[in-house]
Amino acid sequence: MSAKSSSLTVISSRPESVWQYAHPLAMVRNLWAHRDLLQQFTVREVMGRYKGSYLGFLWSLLTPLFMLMVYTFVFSVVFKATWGASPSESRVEFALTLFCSLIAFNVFSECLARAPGLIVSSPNYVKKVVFPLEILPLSVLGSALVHSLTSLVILFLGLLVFVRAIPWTAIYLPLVYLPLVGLCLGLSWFLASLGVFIRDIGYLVGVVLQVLFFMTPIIYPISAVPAVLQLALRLNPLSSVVEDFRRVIMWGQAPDWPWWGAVTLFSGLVTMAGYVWFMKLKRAFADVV
Amino acid sequence: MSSDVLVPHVALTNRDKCGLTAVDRDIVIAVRNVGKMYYLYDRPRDRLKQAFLWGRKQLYREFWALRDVSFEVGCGESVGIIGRNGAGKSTLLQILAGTLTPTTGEVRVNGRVAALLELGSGFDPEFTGRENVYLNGAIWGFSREEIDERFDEIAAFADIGQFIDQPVKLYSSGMFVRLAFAVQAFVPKEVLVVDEALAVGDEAFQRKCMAVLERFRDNGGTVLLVSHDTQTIVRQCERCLLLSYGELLADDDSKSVTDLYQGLMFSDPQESAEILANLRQHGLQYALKQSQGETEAQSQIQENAHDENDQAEHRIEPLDWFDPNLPKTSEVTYGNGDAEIIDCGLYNQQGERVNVLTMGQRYEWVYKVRFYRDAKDVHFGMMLRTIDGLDVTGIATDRENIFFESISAPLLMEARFSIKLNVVPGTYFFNAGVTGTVDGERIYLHRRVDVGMVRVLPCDSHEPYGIAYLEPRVICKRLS
Repeated sequence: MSAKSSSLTVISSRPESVWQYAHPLAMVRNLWAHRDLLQQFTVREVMGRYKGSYLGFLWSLLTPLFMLMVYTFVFSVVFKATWGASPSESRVEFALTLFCSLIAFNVFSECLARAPGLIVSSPNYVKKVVFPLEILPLSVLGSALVHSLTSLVILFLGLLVFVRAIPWTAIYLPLVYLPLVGLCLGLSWFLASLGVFIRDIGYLVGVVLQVLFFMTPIIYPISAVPAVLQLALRLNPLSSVVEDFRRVIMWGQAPDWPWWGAVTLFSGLVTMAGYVWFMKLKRAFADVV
Repeated sequence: MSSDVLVPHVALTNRDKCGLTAVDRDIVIAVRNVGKMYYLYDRPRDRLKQAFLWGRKQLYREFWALRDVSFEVGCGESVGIIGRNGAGKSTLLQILAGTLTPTTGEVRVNGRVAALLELGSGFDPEFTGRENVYLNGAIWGFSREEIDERFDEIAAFADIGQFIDQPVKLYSSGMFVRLAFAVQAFVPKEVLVVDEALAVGDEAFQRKCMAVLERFRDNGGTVLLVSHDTQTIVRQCERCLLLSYGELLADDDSKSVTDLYQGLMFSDPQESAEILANLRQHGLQYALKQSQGETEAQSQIQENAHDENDQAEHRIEPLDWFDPNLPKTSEVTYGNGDAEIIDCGLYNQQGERVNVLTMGQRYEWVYKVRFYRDAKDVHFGMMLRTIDGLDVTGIATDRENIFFESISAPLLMEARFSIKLNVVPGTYFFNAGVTGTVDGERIYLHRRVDVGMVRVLPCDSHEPYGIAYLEPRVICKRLS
């Protein structure tokens, strides 16, 4: 990984072929080559948020804990909503299930909200040093995953306290994360590169995320939607992801395999497309930033 | 070092150092027809409109920051790049460093380029120095273990003590740069691109940086140095590129190119256009002579004389001359109006008026003072200052024990200050002033600041730097 002593670098004005990036193995190899850098940037991303505060990383635990407490209060005392998954569902369970859905959605919204400004806000990495900019969205994703894991810990503690059991299906979690990761990564690459050229993207993404929050079955079960609209809602890949999160953690069910397979395949394509798009536009970043 | 590159067989011995292979083993950087064009839009929204027009209408103006630049840099060479602001220097460096894609042409770099474009640009102010060393190291492609190995050395080089574990935002700018340079110094590289980054830090640290730079060069490293300071370029580089409005105007030995650059800098638009025309038609040496106001004949004599008596201590002829194209200086005048300073001028020993001088020669600064009212306790003075405004020497008649108790107007007087010009080559300014005592207070009757601008040239065998030329005689001999 250290410097090669005889390497010929050709910096040419000729446009590059897009297809050299459009290979999953090439992508993985490129990202793997920068794993040290990626690790450092992820740590920076995670630690940097609370850097300088007295409680530091503890905030990553406290924030979701407070959120969970508020949800529990609101939905067990104020509103009387149910998921209808089990007849004996308690108010506390409703709050925990909502929290579970939010864990999935927050990874998505954290990545996408950050993506459009990601390159623009680090001009030094664009202009001053040769830097693999493609790892920046990855480090944001890494940080979002770390935060979602701490939230998961809180959720599991809540389950142990109120329900006194964690379903065994929770071991499916890594599989359930897979399409989520793919979607976040692909869209982040896409938005991060586009955001360099069109600054409006940042505001647009904020609005779209708001809409998406309600168009995804997060605060309601998908079964609460009229049958006609269910399919439409299902076409939103996030719906399946959120549903699967609830199935494996809250309801002790395996993921909905056909949908899981379809969404995972789709997110794989999104990842590749986002990566190729990013690498293609990357050369022009320094002109605009 | 330049000869290493020019003479092939020497270059061959250098091959191992440079670790190059195959055909172009002694060429480290090859720049071919490189251009960089930016689209300029009058309004930001035109950019969006253009995207939807699909080229049916042109809303932008093309701006070429670089145009058709070609050159090669050999292994172990040190090349300076000089030019005004906006000449395209930084664009060129960014392209060489690989952060900017050229619009036309291509660059081949044989080896690893480390760019000191802006030290510490990868630093995160919230993190400690230690964390930033690892972060920066990772950007340069080091693994954690590799930095672990080098960390103590880096910390020792930066020499910032306990601050290494403090957030970088608490650093003084000097400490910041020291740490950044320390990290940089340990990055293995074949080509070092320096963009005036060394003009920071305290003296001791600057020397340390120069030592690193020199060691790097001695080991066969190739250096590209961008600077406005012609002295630095001449000292550090054998060869220099002159960029102007994105064009590569000259590529020759540092002395000639920096002279040409100064000629261009200190001449009015019409004159510089002439110099450029000469450059394009007849080449660098001709343009250089023209810009220095020498005639063909004079330079012919000079060259002959030079050939005949190569060991001569001083250049034969001409030592100095008057260049009407030296720009009019931005003179500042003030005074109470009781007297007026006129006819300021510098004269050589033959009594000719001059403004291009040779160091170590004797010159006379002469001005006349016309008194309009009676004055008491009058003093005449002059001052020689550098282009930075540093006082080189001040002379006043009272300090030379010349006193004028009272002067009755009208009267015309002349003051002559003869000085031996023991200053290093560069641009200098002369002041003239006359004071008198009014109501018990010593005030300026008239003062003209920066009234005379001169250019001091080196004499052949000496090229000191600093400010003073102390007419050195140097002897080095073996004692055992």
